[in-house]
Amino acid sequence: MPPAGATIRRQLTVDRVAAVFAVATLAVAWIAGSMLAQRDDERLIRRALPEADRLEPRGTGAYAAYRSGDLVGFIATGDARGYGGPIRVAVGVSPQGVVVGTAVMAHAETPSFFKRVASRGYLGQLVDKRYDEAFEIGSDLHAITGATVTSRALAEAVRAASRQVAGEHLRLPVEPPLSPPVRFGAPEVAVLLLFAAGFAERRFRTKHRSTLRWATLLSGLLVLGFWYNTPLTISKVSALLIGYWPAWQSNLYWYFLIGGILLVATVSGKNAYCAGFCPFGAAQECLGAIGGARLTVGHRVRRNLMWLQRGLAWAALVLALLFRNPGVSSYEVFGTLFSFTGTAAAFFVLAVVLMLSMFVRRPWCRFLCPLNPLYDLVRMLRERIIALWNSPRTGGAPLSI
Amino acid sequence: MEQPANRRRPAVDLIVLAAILVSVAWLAYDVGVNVQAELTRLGWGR
Repeated sequence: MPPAGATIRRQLTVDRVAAVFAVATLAVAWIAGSMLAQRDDERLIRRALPEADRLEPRGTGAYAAYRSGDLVGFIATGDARGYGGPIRVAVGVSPQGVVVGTAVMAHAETPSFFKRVASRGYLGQLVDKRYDEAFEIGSDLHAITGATVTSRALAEAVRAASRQVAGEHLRLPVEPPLSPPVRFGAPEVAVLLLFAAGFAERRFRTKHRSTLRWATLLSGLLVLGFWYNTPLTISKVSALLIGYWPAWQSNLYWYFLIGGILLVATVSGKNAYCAGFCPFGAAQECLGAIGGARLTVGHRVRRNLMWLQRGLAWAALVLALLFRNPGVSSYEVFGTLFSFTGTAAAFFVLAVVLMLSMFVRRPWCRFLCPLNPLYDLVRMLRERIIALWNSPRTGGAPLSI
Repeated sequence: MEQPANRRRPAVDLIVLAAILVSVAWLAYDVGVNVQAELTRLGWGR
């Protein structure tokens, strides 16, 4: 049996090789995804105006569409934020400024919401509307029940694209788009307070530390979980990696959350979110408090499951980057708990995880959550950078932190 | 935090492993359905 030091060194080497492999393959997936997206863009754009036999680029991403040499319209793409992420729609507009066709080019929407909207022909409501109509749910459009945010996002995308064509290519009068108002409300305040509470809990080691920790956990569960249903998911991370950066004015919450996590991880190496106020982690801890969560899993099984978890996180990111669609590989069951939506598999896994949580500590976080391996990667990179930074001052010997 | 070793049961490993593997298999099936839909959307699948 090799000595413990040799085993740890071997595991560290394996971890580093795996990290390099993961980063390299993610970079390849990112590049391949961009190339595939470019290749498919024109084909998908054509679906917005299928009668055209020739498209001519006209700048700002728009195309003039011709049939037998006659102009039959223009195609532009519009973007809007759905519930899970951005949605991009190609919109065909006639020379009179009427929407004649739409095609979803890419979306990062939660698959169940998107399927609901797509299967009920919602996009059909948007055809035959003039560019200067309201395109508003409750005014001239009916939302699909249970997918209102997705319905609204599709309408906004089509409105934006049709108005772009009308203003830039048809020279029709268009009202200038309003810049989105800065949204700073309860979720933003809550996430800042939770970071502050986590900081206070670590900084001031009082006898009330455990109480403070439970307070942040329960606040996370109730506010970020059941109230706003805004836990951090792998699709949020992959959306940012792909380049879908939402407008900061209406997404301060996400910038505070992800920026705060990265800031704390960089400065202190700690994981402020998972241990502090992740709503799903809190739900598991509550059940653990009821059941005791005293059973432990053997080292070998734990190690194998850790690699399975890393593989899942890697596969989820690779698929999202390849298809440039963060929703495609999102497998978390957070929404199933907090908004009672999801597939049969999601409900099954949720039930399994919640039952296990009573006897084993945080089974989702330790064996399934894709964010945990990502955090490991960030931590490993941080340690490596610190080691490299310190090495000249210590005669080449990297410092451990 | 590691729990006391005397609370370990040999069956725990098996139950946790089975529960996680079944969960992963079903979730992978779900993701597979999404991937297939994506391939169809891109005109590659059927």
